[in-house]
Amino acid sequence: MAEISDQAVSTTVDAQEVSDVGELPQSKLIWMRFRRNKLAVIGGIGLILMYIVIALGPFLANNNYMYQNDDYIYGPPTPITFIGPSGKLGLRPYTYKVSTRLDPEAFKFVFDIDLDTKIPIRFFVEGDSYKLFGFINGSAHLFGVEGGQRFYPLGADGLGRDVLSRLLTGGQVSLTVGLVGVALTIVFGSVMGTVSGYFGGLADDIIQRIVELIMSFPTVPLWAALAAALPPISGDFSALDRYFLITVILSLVNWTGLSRQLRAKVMAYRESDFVMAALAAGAKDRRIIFTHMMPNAASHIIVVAALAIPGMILGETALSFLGLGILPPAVSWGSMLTDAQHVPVVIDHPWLMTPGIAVILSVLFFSFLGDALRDAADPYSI
Amino acid sequence: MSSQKDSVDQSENNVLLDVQGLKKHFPIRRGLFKRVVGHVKAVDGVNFFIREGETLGLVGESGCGKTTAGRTILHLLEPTAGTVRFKDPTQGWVDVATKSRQELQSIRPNMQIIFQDPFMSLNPRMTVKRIVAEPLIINKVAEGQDLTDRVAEILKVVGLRPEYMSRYPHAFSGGQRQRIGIARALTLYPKLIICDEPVSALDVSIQAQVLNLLEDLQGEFDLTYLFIAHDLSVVEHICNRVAVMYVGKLVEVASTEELYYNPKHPYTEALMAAVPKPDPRQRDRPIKLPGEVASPVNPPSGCYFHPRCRYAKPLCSEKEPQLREVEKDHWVSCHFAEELSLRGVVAGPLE
Amino acid sequence: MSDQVSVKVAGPPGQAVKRPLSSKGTILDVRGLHTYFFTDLGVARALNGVTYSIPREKVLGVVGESGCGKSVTARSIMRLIQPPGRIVKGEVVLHRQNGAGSVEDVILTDLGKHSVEMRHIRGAEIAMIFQEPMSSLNPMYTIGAQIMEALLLHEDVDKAEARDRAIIFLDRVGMPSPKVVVDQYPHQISGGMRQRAMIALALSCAPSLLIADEPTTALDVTTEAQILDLMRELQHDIGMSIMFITHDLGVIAQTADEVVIMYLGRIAEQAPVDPLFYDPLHPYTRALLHSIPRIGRKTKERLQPISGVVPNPYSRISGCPFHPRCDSFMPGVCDVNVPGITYTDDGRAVRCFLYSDRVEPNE
Repeated sequence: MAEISDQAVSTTVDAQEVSDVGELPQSKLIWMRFRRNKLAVIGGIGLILMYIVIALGPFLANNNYMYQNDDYIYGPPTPITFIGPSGKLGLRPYTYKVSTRLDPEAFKFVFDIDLDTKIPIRFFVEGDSYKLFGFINGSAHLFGVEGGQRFYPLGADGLGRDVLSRLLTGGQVSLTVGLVGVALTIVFGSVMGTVSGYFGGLADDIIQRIVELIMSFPTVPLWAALAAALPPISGDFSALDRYFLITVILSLVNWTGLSRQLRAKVMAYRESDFVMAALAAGAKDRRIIFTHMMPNAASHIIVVAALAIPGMILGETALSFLGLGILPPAVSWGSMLTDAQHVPVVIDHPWLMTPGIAVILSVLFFSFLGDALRDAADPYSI
Repeated sequence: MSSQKDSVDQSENNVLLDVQGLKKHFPIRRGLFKRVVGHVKAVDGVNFFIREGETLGLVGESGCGKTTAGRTILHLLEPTAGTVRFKDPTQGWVDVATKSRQELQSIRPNMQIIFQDPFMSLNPRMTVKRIVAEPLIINKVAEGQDLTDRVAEILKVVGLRPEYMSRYPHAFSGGQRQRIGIARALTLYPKLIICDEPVSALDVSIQAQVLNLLEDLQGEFDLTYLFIAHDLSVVEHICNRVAVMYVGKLVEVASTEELYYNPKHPYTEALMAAVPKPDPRQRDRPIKLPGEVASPVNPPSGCYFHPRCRYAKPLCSEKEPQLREVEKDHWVSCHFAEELSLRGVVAGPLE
Repeated sequence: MSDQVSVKVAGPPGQAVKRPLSSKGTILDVRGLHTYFFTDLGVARALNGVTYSIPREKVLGVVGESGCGKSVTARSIMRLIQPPGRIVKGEVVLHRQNGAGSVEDVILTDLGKHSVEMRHIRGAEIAMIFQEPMSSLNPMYTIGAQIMEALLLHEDVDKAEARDRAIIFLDRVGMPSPKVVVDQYPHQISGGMRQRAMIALALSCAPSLLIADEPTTALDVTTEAQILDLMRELQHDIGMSIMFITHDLGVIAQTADEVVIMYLGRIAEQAPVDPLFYDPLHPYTRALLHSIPRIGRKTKERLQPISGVVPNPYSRISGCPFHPRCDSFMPGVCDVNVPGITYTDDGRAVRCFLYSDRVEPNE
């Protein structure tokens, strides 16, 4: 052994030569690159805030999302001022007393704002009871008005329901549908794509023909048809069941895109030397797929998933807008936008468009995230 | 084939690998139903043997099939025809070409491969430890602390510090990655290692390090190498015997000295003449080989080399020559091998 | 076209610059060139003070291993360095010969990267060919179309004439069946033919300097021999200067008239080809020549590798960059200062403390 050891010592690599960056696994490196992208940071923070806000929905909004206030049909957002009753600018926000009357000539409800009566907005006010996260009971709200008057920061809709409250509750549906749907897409798409790419032959042919068949259907009509086929909401089929089936329907079309891309990647990796080396060592197919292919494809899958979420959100919004997705009493941004279809209504009551802004923001943020992930993952991927 | 002189008497007890009639054809598919319209005859009938402890070089230019041959021998590619008899230490003579994947499992540890590309031969998502340990894990040879120790040991043998095993491949230079690949091939102490252009992608000053390492390891671990390369200077240095391939066939097999200084095939002669020597006083090039390397899809008739051969006669385009032993241990595939007097490498003042 | 500018003589302070001998003078001078790449991982000093001359109508070989900066040098000359890299210091001077016989100095580093003058120089005065002809030729256009594009851009010809000239050029570079190939696409022809097409493309506007960046590395040895023969023949016939970049010492010995050895962004040695191989001065050159296996060496001696590895371009090595691997290392000298350029009497240049005490002034 003596000769080898001498040789080894004389050719042993000096510690400094190996770069420090080698300690870090690829995922860490991708994360570091991702963090440097400003849009990604904006998107990431924006989304985190959105998710926190909708999770705390019932706590933040003043009213129960289903409560119909006959006195406030299409009521405007309650005005807020920081000038107190004494006429001085202060820290405490105030709102005005608003009363409703029917204008006989225009045949519309008119909302008179009594500028002299100022009602303070307080924090942690008692209001409608709710269940936070499904199991925490509470009735305190972050801010509100004591006494009889209700507080509508974003106004009310055609049935007198609080837009803000519905926005937050609807967000719970709209923002999670994408995640659940994408999870299904990832699982199904990865399996199909990997099988197709790795084994080739007949399995590949069959799977690819199925993929092409599904992809050639026009998406929205397909969704619409499947959604219309769902049973109505009843004792046996709750709104929650419907929600999950909608996510399944949405991901039914989406998995095809991922499977194709993954197939291409797997076919490329299959030829790489390190897979040959594993074969030469006696590895079985299962090991090669899970130990070698999947980790290398993982960054790609994550990117595709992140970029697919906006599509799912828009898909759910479209379906609910058409009345085929989430149905009352459940609410989502799409179903809220159904009320905003008519131009005269929207001109008179622009606050009904806020769900649209919410959709745009969430889709934008997810797109920033997805793009940044793709740029971060690219340089190292094979 | 078996009646020819080139087949090996199996009672020769120091032969480790005996390849006979090896073929690997890749089908070309066209059309909607992927009909097979032709074949790429990457390896088209190759016979040679390797003795234990020796290094056989396999040289040729692009498209000659040497890389395909290496992988087909290990049954990483499914052979189209032929036998690959390997003297396994426990199982005796085994024909690797006909064995199933299941059966090969027990033989694989004894036949390993080192790759050319230091960047693609290591999984970028795995630590060096995982990469080197993989053969041990797959074959359930060691685990836990024992595994770590073995990896450390083998890393030291190839000249890398064991502390590096927790790092990822992108931290290392090309030469270091090749060492990792060598370590991986060594972990199960194989008998035969196919070296597929192991130094071609390395810097000149690192090539020497890795070549020395391979030589040392051969002595230390009783290894036998099939050394696939295109750099004839490297091959002359490290190989005992050399086989020259052209468009899927062997044209000449001989000891290194014989092949380089007394070649018997015109292609070998042209190859030797074409090597750019690192000596500015040796600039004459008496033999200029015209034309392009023939295509393995549609090779010329008769002898594949005849369109470019300066000694070609009518027979060459009609009849394909067979590989035959014209002198002891010197095989050539040329109709006129005995008549031709070819020019080998001429040593210069710097050599 | 820039006006005639005075030539600034750079070089080690206090010594007259001696240029390597060449009867016809120099076509291009690189002086104190620093090209850095500013990345997230740090600053990579690809060129760290590079000075050499390309002699007129001769072949200058530039040899080095990966990371030495040989390709970056070529791209710096052509002003093709893209962000995050840029030329930080130094200059490149082209000694353009006008028809009248006078020589005009054009300082390329002063021209804008995208300026009209620079674009004129690229292609018409300095042409470049690359290692991978498959990626340097546009797969969407025929060979003929690509050669014609260059001709139509730089010369005053119409399409028909350009096509005729393209065929003539293809024939000149030894392309089999040029009239057929002119209408073929890159993927339809072999690697050697593609490289010939690249050479034809480069020569189409009669440049005075051809930069060849590893043109034969991807080719088989027999095809390589053909291409090297072709380049030597063309150079001889046209009287063109060639800057031949490679890592292969054999190719350099066969092709170059003068050689520059680079290591980690600096010139280690410059010499005519014969003295470089038969009497190398710099320890790196010597070590390199000893480490390569040579065909024709009958005795099987053990190769003598250079210990250590080529450092990565982000590392900062004090003193001479080669000292950690040098067998003539002098402690206290080589690891403290960077050696300055020493010019020998016979026109060679070397950066090594074995030959003089000259120190490179600090940056």
